[in-house]
Amino acid sequence: MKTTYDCSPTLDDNGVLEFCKKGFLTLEAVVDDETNRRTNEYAEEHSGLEPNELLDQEWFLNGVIKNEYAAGAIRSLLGKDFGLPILISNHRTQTPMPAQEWHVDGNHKFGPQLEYLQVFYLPQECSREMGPTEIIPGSHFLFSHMDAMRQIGRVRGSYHASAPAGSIVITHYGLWHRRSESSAQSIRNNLKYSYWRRSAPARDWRIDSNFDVETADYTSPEPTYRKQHRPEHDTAEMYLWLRGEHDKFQVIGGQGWPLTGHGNDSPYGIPQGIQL
Amino acid sequence: MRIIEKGEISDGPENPDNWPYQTVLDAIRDGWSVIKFPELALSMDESRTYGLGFEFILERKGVYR
Repeated sequence: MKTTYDCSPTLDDNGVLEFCKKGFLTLEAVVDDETNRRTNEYAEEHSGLEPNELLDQEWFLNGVIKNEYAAGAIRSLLGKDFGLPILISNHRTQTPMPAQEWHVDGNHKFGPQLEYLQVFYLPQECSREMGPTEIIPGSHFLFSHMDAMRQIGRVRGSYHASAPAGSIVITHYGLWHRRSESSAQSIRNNLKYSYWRRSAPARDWRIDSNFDVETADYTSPEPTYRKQHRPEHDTAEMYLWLRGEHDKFQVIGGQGWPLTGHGNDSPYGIPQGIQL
Repeated sequence: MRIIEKGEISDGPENPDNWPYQTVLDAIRDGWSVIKFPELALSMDESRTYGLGFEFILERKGVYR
């Protein structure tokens, strides 16, 4: 059943900007031990791919779906009264297993907008040997069809979402990812579900009064697999979309905004009408 | 990076520092041939970034490291 939820946002401008750059956010060990234990027990008894009944369990709803740290970050990125998941999958894997091929989940709509978030919850520790989800940071800005990414294999700069029990990884739906290869004997539970935007984008996360949209750092960690300075362009566009100011987004090129300059004044080319 | 050797597919070492070569040129100098150059046409649209650009496919026959 579709339900909305609201809570206080936990990310500030820099937190939102960081998500724009990388396309994901890891919250380590934010779910309590008892909820992790009950989830693992539930997964043991209901080993199907889509244990949707979990979404009706009050303890799971409160401990995981409305978890204060995760929900606060979701609220920051998707705005007030965001939609709660209506579908949950458990990628329960008996390891060791070879790596999956790189993919983006189906029906992703490419662009700067953020209408939904895909979230992974690890009810038990997932070590590198257990084949955690592997992500290419910033790949939500790389358009590709799945058939063109299958053969890529090892990617320099990929991120393995190894994390302790009770961790939640919040991702952009368009992020390239795969189950990494595993070497340990284990059963790995990895629950996946989506939250939905139900309100217009607005800068209603935690406002950092020191944050300056003119001089903020829009650069991304290398490698980005994009041409020089394209990451700053992509990040700034997504950030303005989230602020509800995408209609004002424009770049003049050269060393103008949003490039991080070292000049003696703010950069040229700051979009007109943007709220400072 | 992906390696197909003796019919077996492998992603090779996890740490990029341990990859067989650090650059395409290093591989060419060690006897590999380029059998497919990157699809540069994919990077000609400045409004979009398509896939992982500059992907080379190399081949070397008859010699196993």
